[in-house]
Amino acid sequence: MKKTLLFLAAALMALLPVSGQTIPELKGYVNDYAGVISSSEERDITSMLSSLEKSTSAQIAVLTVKNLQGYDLESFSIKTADQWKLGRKDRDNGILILLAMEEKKVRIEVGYGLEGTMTDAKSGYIIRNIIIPDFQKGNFGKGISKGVEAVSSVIGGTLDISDKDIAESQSRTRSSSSGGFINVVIFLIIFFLSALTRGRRRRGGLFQALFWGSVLSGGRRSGGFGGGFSGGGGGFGGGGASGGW
Amino acid sequence: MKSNKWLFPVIIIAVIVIAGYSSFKGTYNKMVQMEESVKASWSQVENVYQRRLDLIPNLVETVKGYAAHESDTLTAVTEARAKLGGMVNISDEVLQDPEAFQRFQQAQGELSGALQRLMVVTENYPELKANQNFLALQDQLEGTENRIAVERMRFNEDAQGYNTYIKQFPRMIIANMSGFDEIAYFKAAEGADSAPAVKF
Repeated sequence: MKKTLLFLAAALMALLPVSGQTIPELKGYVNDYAGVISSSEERDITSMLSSLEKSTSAQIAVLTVKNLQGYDLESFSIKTADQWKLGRKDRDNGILILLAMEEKKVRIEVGYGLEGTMTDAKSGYIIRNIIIPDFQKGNFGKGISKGVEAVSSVIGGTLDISDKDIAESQSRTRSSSSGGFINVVIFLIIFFLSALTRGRRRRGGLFQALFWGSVLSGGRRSGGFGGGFSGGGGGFGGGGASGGW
Repeated sequence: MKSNKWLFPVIIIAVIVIAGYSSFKGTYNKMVQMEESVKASWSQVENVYQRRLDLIPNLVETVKGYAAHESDTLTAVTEARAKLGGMVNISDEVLQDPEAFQRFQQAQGELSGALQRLMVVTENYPELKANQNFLALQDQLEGTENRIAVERMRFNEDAQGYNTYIKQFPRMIIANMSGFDEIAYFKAAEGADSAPAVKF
């Protein structure tokens, strides 16, 4: 009896330091530990997010994991966000998009500074209406890519999910199933347009960034060229939304 | 030459006084700083609780539209909220009053329980579950419950740091002298106080 207790205690002791290290390392905008995002999708998402950071200073990162190692989704998410410290320290403008494959759960964790722009309701709307439909078909990279696009459009101010949108999507989903299709088409058009305008802006943004980068030698930037990718010290307070598929 | 006899003890006493003063000052100021940071996290806790209170009328109205005859559950939520109405934004003094802190925590726990039962009841109303307005409110409620959990955790961490600091020897002497009291923690209470597990 004593022996088993001792063994249990030893096992617990052995587990404790490990559990401190379970949070995956922040490598870049896309941290695909579950291996569900194709390399071309990863490139697209990365360029989308780096141009968003250049234009708005908001820092968004994607994390996919195989499982949550026994944590619940929200704890895992806030632990990761606290450790990664996405967003600028003075603006707390970071967002973490977390995907757990075995648990079939997804969460958008929103930093303090973006809670007003990216409300819980909008986060939930994006999860339910934009991300989950692709996840249900098994297109994880596509779902994340569309989700990232929607989140960055909301933050960039090119997409506004108003209460009216939320109410309208309700009447559509209630009246007929084809409403969902119309919704998707409308969103695709919005995404396409916003992608176009962003694409045009990106060129100027890149030159500007290169110019200022060479002038300021980029010491102030958190993400950016070469070097390691790291968070800027932003704080999180549990805002955002979760969903499952 | 005579004064030399006195010089040495005077210097020693001066050194002791200065050292004592600076260590007292350092400890005292550190206590003030830690207490302020506990108060700051307390106001964050109050913020998120207030956020939940603000959310409830809208939520109750929406649920009423679809599930009017669940009046018991709805009344329980409204009553628990009313009870807290006069209580939130109580001053920092509650931190030094374990009993008041306990009452506050219990009232919040009752509201959590009532909300939890309400969310369970809504599972029986498919029309309500399909209402995007309700889903948005549910997102907000979940987000708020999660914020509450996070801010409570942060508060407990700060309070623990502060309590440990003021209770250690010899700082406890300075703490007792200057009126720095232990601060109560949030406890994960029996069932009622856990966040509603709203499942999709």
